[in-house]
Amino acid sequence: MLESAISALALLFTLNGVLFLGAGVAIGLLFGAIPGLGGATAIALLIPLTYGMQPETAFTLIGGVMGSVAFGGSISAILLNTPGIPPNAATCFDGFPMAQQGKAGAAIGAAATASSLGGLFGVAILIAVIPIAKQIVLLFGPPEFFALAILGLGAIALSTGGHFLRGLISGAFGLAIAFVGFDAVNGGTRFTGGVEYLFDGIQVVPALTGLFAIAEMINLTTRGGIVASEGSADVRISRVSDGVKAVFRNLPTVLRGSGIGAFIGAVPGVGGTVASFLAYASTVQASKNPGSFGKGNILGVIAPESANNAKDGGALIPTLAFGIPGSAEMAIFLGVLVLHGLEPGPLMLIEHEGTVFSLIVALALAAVLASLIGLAIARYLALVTLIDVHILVPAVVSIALVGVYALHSRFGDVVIALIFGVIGYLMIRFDYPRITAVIALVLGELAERSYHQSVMIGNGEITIFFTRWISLGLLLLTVLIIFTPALRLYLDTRRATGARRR
Amino acid sequence: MSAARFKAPSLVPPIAMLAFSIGFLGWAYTYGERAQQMPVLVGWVMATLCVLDVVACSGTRAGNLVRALFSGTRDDHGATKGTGTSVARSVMSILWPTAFVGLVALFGFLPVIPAYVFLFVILQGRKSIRQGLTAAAITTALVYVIFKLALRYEVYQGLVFAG
Repeated sequence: MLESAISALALLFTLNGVLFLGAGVAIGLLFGAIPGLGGATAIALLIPLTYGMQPETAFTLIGGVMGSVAFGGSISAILLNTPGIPPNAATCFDGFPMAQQGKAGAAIGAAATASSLGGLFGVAILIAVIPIAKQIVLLFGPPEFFALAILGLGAIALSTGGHFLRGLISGAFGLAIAFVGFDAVNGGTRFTGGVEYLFDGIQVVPALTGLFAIAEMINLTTRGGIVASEGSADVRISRVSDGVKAVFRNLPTVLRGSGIGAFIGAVPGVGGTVASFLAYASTVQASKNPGSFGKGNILGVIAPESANNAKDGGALIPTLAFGIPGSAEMAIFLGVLVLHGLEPGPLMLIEHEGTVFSLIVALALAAVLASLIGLAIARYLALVTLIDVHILVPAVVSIALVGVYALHSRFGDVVIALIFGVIGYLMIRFDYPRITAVIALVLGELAERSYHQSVMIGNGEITIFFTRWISLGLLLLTVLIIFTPALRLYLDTRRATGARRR
Repeated sequence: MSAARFKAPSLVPPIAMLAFSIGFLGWAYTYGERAQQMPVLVGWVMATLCVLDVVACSGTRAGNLVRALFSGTRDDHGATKGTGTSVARSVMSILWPTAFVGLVALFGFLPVIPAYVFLFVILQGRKSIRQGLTAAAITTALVYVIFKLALRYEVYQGLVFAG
């Protein structure tokens, strides 16, 4: 393991490695700072560009993006009260009041340092867990993978903020789309309507580019105006060092936030927003002066930002070890792995340890580099959010579609990206969570293959899913997840009735 | 606030999804026994969930109950609200990339990108001609430099110019 880490470091400290990491960080900061874009869109746009690269170089670029998006989002959250990505929303509570009090520099300094430390903490957790994960994944056979895929979908649907039913429908829709094309298990093609292009199935990269990049651009077009909801051209930044020092004076807050971030990140579907809000809430609860939060308390910036960056390390655990992505970003990242001929799952950690470590090292260095670059260009990044969407939209649509075509030189990919862009926009408009559709699309093949393999192992009986402890446990957990909202409603109603009686 | 007072969300999306799931299910049954297993299972699950969604959007007491059961709350936290954008505006926003792809199919990316960016900026964005020209020039240059010069990718030439 140490050998892999050292060779990954050596690879990164070449001119090529530094250039690609720097480019990834710059793109991540930019896409993080612009609300509505985010890491998923950035990675989707970059996939075609990585096609001709060595896997290690591609992961350096993508690692740079993943490690820097969260900090980019915190800059617009602090300076403009507009979170670049949803997890930065918790940073607005105290970051923007600090900016209003003339302490924007301190807030950004704190966010940068907390992001770096959080990112490093997340990576440390990932490195610590890899040897254990290797052992755990070896216990998993097809029934366990099938159960895990179903559990992942259920958990992600549950995390869609009150849209559980539509989250499940989106998941089923994603699975349905995943069945299109050649059926590797049974031979023959399905749901193609005789269209030759569809024989290979719906390609993940054009579909994801459509669902994220194109759908967001259509949505921005309907909204109009500037990207940030609360714009101000006055974004002066000074006294950054005050924020940096404040982080080192409050290391327990950083550790608590990072711990929450890494743990929550590893749970499929829960995501960075929950992690940063939990970190914020726990810091308020632990504070001797909770009344100061929301009025510019620097701890209110440190806690969510450390959680925000630590989550990536945690989220990579299920993605790399089991091939189960926990977020849209990770689902798209799976697309990158597949494009480079790597199959996520048990063998990935064993056979491609060096490649995995180049991603991990890139992620760690990106967290630090993002803060350094971000501090230098924070003012200009904030101004990017004041760009009129009508200039941003056609540029992003053009680059996204050229990139989609460039991947396999098939115009059908461009059409698929457009169709999924429209579907994605309709999903935004009618509150069908896209995340479950995306993850189902990615997991569909794994779920079906594991299902058929399991039934074969079980001599045609589906009871195999219930006779093996791990798969039974995972399926029971899925049932629990499905009934969680109803259970919560029952408990709330009982509590309310009890209170009324008293 | 009680659930009964909420304005029920539109029935059109859940009915459209239900129609899709029924169509998918019907199609799934046309395949062999093994090939149809998973699609049929997913189709039935999707159809059932869509029926529940139709009920949830019906504005009836049963609908409110379904909504509460799946959102875990009786208040409007889980109610679907949508973006509130008018249909005309949505259609217009979808038409722009659709027209772009249609024109690219005929003439290829490089001639269409500057025209698309320029027209979008001045017609949809109501910006000045100068801004439109600048945005078009920068975007086209970016695409040309990244894809054609740096990465040496093939950029689609369109049916007319492909020769």
